[in-house]
Amino acid sequence: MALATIAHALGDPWRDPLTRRALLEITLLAVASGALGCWVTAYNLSYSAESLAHALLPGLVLAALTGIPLLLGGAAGLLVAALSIALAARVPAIGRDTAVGVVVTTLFGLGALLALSPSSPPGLQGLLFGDILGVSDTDLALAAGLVVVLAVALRLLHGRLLVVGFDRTNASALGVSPLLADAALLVLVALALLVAVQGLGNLLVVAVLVAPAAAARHGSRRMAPMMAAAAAIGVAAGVAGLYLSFYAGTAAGASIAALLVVAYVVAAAARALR
Amino acid sequence: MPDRRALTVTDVSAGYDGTPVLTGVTFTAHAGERIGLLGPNGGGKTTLFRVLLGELRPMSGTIEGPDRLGVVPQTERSRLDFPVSALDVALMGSVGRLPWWRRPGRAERRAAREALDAVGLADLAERSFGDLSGGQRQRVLVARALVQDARIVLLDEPFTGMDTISAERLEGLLDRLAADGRTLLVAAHDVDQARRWDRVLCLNGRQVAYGPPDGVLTREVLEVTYGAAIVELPGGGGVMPAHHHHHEEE
Repeated sequence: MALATIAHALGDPWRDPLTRRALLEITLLAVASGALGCWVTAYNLSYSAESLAHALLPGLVLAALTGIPLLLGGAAGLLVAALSIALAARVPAIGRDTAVGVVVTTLFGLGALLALSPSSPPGLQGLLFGDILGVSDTDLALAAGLVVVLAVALRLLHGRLLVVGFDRTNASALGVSPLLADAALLVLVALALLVAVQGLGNLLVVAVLVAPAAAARHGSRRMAPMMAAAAAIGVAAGVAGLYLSFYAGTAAGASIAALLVVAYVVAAAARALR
Repeated sequence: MPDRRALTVTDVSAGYDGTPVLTGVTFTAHAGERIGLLGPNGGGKTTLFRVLLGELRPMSGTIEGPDRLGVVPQTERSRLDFPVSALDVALMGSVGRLPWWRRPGRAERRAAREALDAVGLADLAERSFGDLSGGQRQRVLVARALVQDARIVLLDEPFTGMDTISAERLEGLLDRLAADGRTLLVAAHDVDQARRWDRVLCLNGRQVAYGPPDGVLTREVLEVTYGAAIVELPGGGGVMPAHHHHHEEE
């Protein structure tokens, strides 16, 4: 009787096709982001990833307002952000760090202003906080495509990314270009953000990219197992977050993000206790 | 008599932003030679390495040698938090030689394991790099240069921070590599150790001297090299820089 109750409780959320689609989306994104996130944290690019995610918001909002595909809008937003940062960094007496801060805050504020304006159609808030329960077939196809692209790219780049990440100073002497490795990684991060932001939202997308990798780093001594662990942590937090959302009535994306942070805290505490 | 010249540097000057920091470097290194680079911090050792590695274009002069040299950086500057094993680090020596679409395969892994075996670390291949001792990490980086199959290897102060036993073990390894025909350029501070090598290059913003240690490591040359900051060892043990006359403990 008790077992039947538990089985019922466990299976209940998945009777809804929306939840099943959300599970598929978060599984695909967690696998892709978990693997990529390990490189993001190893290269100390977490702040850059967050900046990119925030900077593409105006592009997403304008795309939603004008009816062009969000992917195109986001890509244009990234391009504008990159150019703006490059230009701002040339202003005398402003360092690159400050330039990134000023440009990203400006762009994010502009995007939020457009998205939350009373005259904007409803639903644009989804760009900020995501709508994992409302993913479309296109979103799922893009997430699946992202998994394939990242799997191939990270497999091909693995050795070179290791060389540059471990010993940037001498990478050239080892026949590996740090510039190309950095550029390849940033392109992959931008691609992942563009795809993931549609389901998870502009504010929460970085959580799935950084938190699982940061948690996995506490228990991993090599990159490949760390990538697998990060993907598993992301999937587990995704499943648990959907349960939490179903039974507690909380926002699905925020529940997943919160549990990703919990996973990090648990991993850090476990390491501290060892 | 075969030509055993491995590297010929002729009147090389180098610097940054148009300002030379090293001038008049001229020397020839032969296969199998162990060459010590002595000089104070800022004397030009790192600049010369950067020129030899092709990272810094010389302001004048010529360099004749292989396109790619092996490099063994200071292990103290390694990222100990990076999730790599000793085998991963040794394998890095093969990555640059492979086309971009190829991952290191069985042959490369075998070469990396052989290199770790050669430096006496076969048993620690799977150990995390950050968990190794300073001396072990230095030998892993030597293994990486072996996997590169570099005939000339530049070592940047490899003995820094090592205890006496680790330093002796590394020195024995370098002797074996030289006996195998490799040319080693070792930036160091230990004048006493440099006396055991084949040649010594003294730098202090310019080339002060180059040649066999007996002829080069005189009080006069060392005073010019280190700006008179040298001490005399008791018992006729020679002279060495005042702030580097002992091994630091590991």
